[in-house]
Amino acid sequence: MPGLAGNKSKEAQSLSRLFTTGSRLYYLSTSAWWIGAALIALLIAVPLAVVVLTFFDPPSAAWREVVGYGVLGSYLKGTIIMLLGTGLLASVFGIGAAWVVTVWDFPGRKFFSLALMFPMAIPTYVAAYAYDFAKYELRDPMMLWVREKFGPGVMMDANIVFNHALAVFVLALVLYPYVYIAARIGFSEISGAYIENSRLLGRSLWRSLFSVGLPLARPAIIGGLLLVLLEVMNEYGAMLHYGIETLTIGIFNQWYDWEDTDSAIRLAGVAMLVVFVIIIAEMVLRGRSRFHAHHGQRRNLAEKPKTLAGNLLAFGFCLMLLYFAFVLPLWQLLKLASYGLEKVELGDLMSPVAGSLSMALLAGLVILAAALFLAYAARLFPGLSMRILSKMCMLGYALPGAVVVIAMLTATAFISDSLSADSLTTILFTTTPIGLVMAYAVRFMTPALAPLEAGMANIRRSMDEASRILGRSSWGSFFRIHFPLLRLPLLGALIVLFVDILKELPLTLVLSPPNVETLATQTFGLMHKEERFAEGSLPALILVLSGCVGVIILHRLIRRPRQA
Amino acid sequence: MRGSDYLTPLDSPAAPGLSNDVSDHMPDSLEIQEISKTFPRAVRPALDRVSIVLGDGDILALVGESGSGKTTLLRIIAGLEQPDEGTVAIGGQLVCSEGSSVPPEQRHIGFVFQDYALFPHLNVRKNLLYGLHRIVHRDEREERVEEIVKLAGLDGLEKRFPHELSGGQQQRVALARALAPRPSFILLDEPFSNLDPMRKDTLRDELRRIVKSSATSALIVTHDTRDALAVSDTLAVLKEGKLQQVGSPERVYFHSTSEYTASLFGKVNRIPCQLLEGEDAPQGSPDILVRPADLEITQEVTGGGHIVGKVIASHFRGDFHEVTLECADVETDSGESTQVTIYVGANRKPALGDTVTVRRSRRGEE
Repeated sequence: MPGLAGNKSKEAQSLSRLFTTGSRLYYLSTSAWWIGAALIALLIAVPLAVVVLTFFDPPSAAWREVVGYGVLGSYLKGTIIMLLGTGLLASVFGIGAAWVVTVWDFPGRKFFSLALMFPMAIPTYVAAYAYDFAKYELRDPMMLWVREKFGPGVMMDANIVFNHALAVFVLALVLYPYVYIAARIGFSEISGAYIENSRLLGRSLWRSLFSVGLPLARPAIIGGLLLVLLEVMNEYGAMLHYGIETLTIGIFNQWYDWEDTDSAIRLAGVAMLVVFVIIIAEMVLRGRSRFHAHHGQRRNLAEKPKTLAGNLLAFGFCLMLLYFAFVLPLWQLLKLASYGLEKVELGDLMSPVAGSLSMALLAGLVILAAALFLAYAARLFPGLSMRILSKMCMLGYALPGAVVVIAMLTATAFISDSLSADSLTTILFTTTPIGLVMAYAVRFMTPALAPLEAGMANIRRSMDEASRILGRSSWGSFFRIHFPLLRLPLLGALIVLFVDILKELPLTLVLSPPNVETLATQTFGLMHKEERFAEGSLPALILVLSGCVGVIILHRLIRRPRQA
Repeated sequence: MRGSDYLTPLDSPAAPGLSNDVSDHMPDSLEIQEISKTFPRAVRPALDRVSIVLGDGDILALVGESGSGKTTLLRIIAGLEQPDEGTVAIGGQLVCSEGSSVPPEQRHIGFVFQDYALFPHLNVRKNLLYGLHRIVHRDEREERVEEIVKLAGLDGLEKRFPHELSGGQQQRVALARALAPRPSFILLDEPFSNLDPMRKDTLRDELRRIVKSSATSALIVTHDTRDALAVSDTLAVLKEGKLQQVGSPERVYFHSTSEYTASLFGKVNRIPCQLLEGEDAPQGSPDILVRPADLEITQEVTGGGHIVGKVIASHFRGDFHEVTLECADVETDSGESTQVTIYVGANRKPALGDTVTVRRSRRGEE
């Protein structure tokens, strides 16, 4: 063929054939994109692989003790109790609230449907500190009563039971919005049309919700519940506060208190296994029922309650939930802060605020850029290998922060050893925040990637093709078509990332360079370590407020009509 | 990798947009040869050795049912899909042959997508400017946009966004956008499928006018044979990946080479016939295929070449009645009587049960 490209393009073509099975678009520069995506995926997957590999090493003596003396058992027990308790209670709160707001048109319904999302804005450990008063005002009279009734012998156990119950209650209060949001979308968006149909077929609204609404919303609800359980697995600050031994706590205990790296890594492996089981359970529970059948417009299904009692019941439930989950902790923080303001120079707060905000913004932008690259690479080459790479990048989100910490440090140490470059750890974690940003990327790639992938899916293929035929390269198309069309998902993802990173505790605690304080670490340091609640309430309040801003913006983004 | 690696030396910057006045040896806008394509896990090839030539300034309509491979062929020509075998040449230059392919952005062709693919975040003017980035001077770009706006009748719409336009306007913008960079030719994928049926005819004629006055050749893919007949200079019929017939619309309509093609373009009557003395025997079946439009009611009952039938059904179709006759004395092989459909003017509707005589109309005999 005269003038036609020779070997070079043949290679490129076979490469692209290899990676684009079933693809509709055909491009020649596949390899660069693929390698880029693979690098990001490796950066995220290698630390996790190190944990998994260590798990198969012959066990050390220390690990045998951890298993033999029942330490592992107690970590597992604590984790499972917290998972079951919080999962159950958060489901009751979340589904209940979604149900009431969906079914009843009571006074204040509009207000509550938004306000019931706000507890999300309170970081779990902040909620635990804000509920600290319960330990004195509730526990002490209770313990007195227990001693009188059952004698002093059961005090210890009663105290442990009380702490678990309080932890479950507090965590469920701030985590239920995940279930609430999922259930609301499930009720109104997915099954709205079916519920309307069921009513036309002569069933009452309530019966329709039971026989059609709940089963159809189930996959969405279980998806929300999964997020709750993953948050419980991740929880460090609150568990520490209530003295509950979970796997996350165990990892830190073994690593710091016992300096037993091997057992810490193995505990991280066990935690990964538990997460794996949770995800499998979610998949089994969802079964084949991933209904996306009717993604129609929102339906307003609510009816006015017929009786005053009905009105009161709906209003009362929402009010109580909002009071305990948001108003009360916020009020406690404000009360503490009013004392705190007298003791603290506002100037002292500025440095962690600035550090925290710039860190969250920087890390958020880096992660977003990587996610954008991955999403566009997957767009250009929608093959199996790209799907696997992007799934690999999403792994970290399921894992507790403690596991990510261990994985990052172990992998760095491993690489340092094999390169005999001792300075790697220093560079990454002591002198610069690079290591911390990488750890954030491992943990938070999903909240960045998922909305971008959804946004990409909303851009029709013919847009890409039209742009290419009009003479633009893949990069040109990206900057002129995809980037502007992804503005909303990008903004949404950045806000979620920003708030998530701002309140992230375990990763930041361990991996941030010394003398770098963030709002999260300062809150933890003052409230937990030094028990200076008044001073600690100030950074905690800033965290809550920024979380609220995030929730409001997210709500607006969700509400915005989709682009045609 | 830069595009120049793939272009033949002949491909000068002047090549796109050349029109028929340049030289006597003007190569065809598009020539595809022996294109074959089988999708993974498919039973039969999507395209089976298809060859088509698009003459300069021609409008060629590629007609076929869904799944006939016509869109695949279009995507192969555009470079969005790769054929297993065969070659594509644009303006005399190979852009696709075994193992190598010029990427879509370097083929200098226009494409009007079925969903129009107007960029939703750009207004009409910016959509039109999108493909003009190769024109260096701003003034020239603006000039070209003005020109194309006038040609496509988009005056006053430049500031609008795609969602603020009607379906017909969107189509004209898509067409204008494809024509703006003066492509070698344009491809249109089912351009009429999203249009309001009431205004479709007008919009179709408008599209033909715009394409013709831009002196650009066009290849239109459609499943609607009425559109194809009305809009094209040349028709090509595709069935299950194989090319059935290529020719002028009249030729394909009235002189279909296969029963498939004939029935694709409208109702045909299959009438068993006996050969009269002195006539050549047609090959194959002794049946003849006649379009209802080629039959007319006649008063002449003497001589040959006519059929007598009883009216068993009549449906009003607007301009005419579609009348079904049962012809008891024309038997099929299996011994059943034959049904024949004819079109009768709206004012001359025969009553049910009437017996009428039918013969080939004069025009049909030509």
